[in-house]
Amino acid sequence: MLEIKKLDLNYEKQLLFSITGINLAEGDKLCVLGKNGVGKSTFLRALIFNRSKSNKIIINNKKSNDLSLSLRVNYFGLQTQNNIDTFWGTARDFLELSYVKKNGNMKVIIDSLVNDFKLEKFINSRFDILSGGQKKILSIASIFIQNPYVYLLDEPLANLDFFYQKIIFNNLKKLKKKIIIMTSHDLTPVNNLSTHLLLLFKNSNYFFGKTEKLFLSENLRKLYEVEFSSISMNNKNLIYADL
Amino acid sequence: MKFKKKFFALLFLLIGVIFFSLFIGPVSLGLQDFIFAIKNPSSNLGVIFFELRLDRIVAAALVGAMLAISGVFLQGIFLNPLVDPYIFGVSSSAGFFYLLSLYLGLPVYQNIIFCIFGGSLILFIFLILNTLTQNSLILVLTGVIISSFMSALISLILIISPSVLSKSMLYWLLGSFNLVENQYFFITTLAIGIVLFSNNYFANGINLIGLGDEKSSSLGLNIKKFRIIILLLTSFFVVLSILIAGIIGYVGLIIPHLCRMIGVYNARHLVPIAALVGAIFLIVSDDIARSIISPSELPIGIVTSIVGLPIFLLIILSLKKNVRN
Repeated sequence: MLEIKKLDLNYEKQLLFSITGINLAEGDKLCVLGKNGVGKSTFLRALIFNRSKSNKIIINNKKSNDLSLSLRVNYFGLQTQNNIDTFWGTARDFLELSYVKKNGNMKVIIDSLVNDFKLEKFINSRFDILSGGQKKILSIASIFIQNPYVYLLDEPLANLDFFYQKIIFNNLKKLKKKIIIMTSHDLTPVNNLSTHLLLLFKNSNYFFGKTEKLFLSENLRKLYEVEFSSISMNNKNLIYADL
Repeated sequence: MKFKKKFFALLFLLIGVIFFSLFIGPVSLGLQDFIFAIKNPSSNLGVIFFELRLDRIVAAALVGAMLAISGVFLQGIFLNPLVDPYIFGVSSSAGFFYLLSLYLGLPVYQNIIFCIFGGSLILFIFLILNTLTQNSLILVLTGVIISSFMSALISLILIISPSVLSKSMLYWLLGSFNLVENQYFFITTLAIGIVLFSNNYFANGINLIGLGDEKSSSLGLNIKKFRIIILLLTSFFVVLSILIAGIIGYVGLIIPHLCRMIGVYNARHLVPIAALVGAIFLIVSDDIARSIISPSELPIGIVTSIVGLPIFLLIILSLKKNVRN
């Protein structure tokens, strides 16, 4: 259970949002939507790194402020958008670094992950010469090795081809006991995965709620200032942008 | 498995190089002299082999290992492959204060204190700076500025000193294992041993830093604390190697790259391999330094620079080729 009772999002000392009343239970998958630069990534970072006394985030009945950096590892795992180009080791070495809880056999865990994420082709290549998409898959896979309670994924699908998008989805759907919070500019995860939405508007307003309540073309129009259309197919409401 | 093979191959190479180097020096000695020396350790030959030459070889090995490890550590925490222990001014500051104490005619133990003070001073500046900024580029640039400032002060000392003193200072500045003192061997060996023994901790931190500040913090690494530990350790190494042999350039810069050239990238493997390669490199450089114009000898800093430059060029070329396999 993750309860965000109060979380102030600051960027360069300017208050962007003051978020209250977000509750997520195990198995919930929250998708954060909003324009570029509105504070989506800041939201993910604030969840893991917040130290301010005024914030109140409760995770499994523990206040996250009280957790030391090394304890937070058990609760939050962060996949960033940054392209990592200063790691000098193989893809396997990269994954081993996320084995921080040290329970279970590392080799077995990594081998099964290699199979789950179809990493066989480049698991023994040097990390720094991999493509952006390959690094992205490894970054997401590394969170699964870290195995935290909350998965924080910043644009997990950007740069990925459909084959790997499908693999990521399959693996994320298996996480019944975890909480996933992801940002996206793509509506695919909203259509296929998310249970909750957080819409961050330019004027410090935000909407939080279940996906089926909030996922409406008029909300997206307000959010992005672009027209959206919706069609019904197989009893599902699909929304796409009119570009 | 591949790592173990490389490690043991290099270890045997190191032992071979040490043995071979026992036979290099102004007096040419052969295998039967060596056997005689083993049987009579207190004879003249025994003194030449096991005190003069072995001390020198051990000193070169220890300094090489320390500088190479420092290079791996500093390149790792500053995420910059062009960083080396001397770029930070730790060495030039330690060197300047050492020369200052020579200029003032202070006794030996005070020379050592001055040297340690000079190194720690820069370290202290970096520790303060480290709390103010996380930006590694600023730290590196500050190091370059301090280093050139201290080099200017060193030149000043050289100019105002009487010419006899300034020549010996210059010789010291360029590094030499000629008058090596074995009083530092124990603490040096202990320090290297501790680092290699706790390699998992250091290597893990360095690998994590490579993932960027956010990712490494999210995996539980306290970056500021880790940087402080590494800075302390490398300064300690640098001051020790200066006390043993003066200022020797290039080793900390090229050895980590040489190791990457033979396919060792992961810091977990890089630290022990670099220690071995650094030791071998400096022993061989010292062999060259004392045999090329025998019976007199070159300062080792000149040899490492002359040997290091082409190796460094090769590394740059191979880096370019490696970028897409």
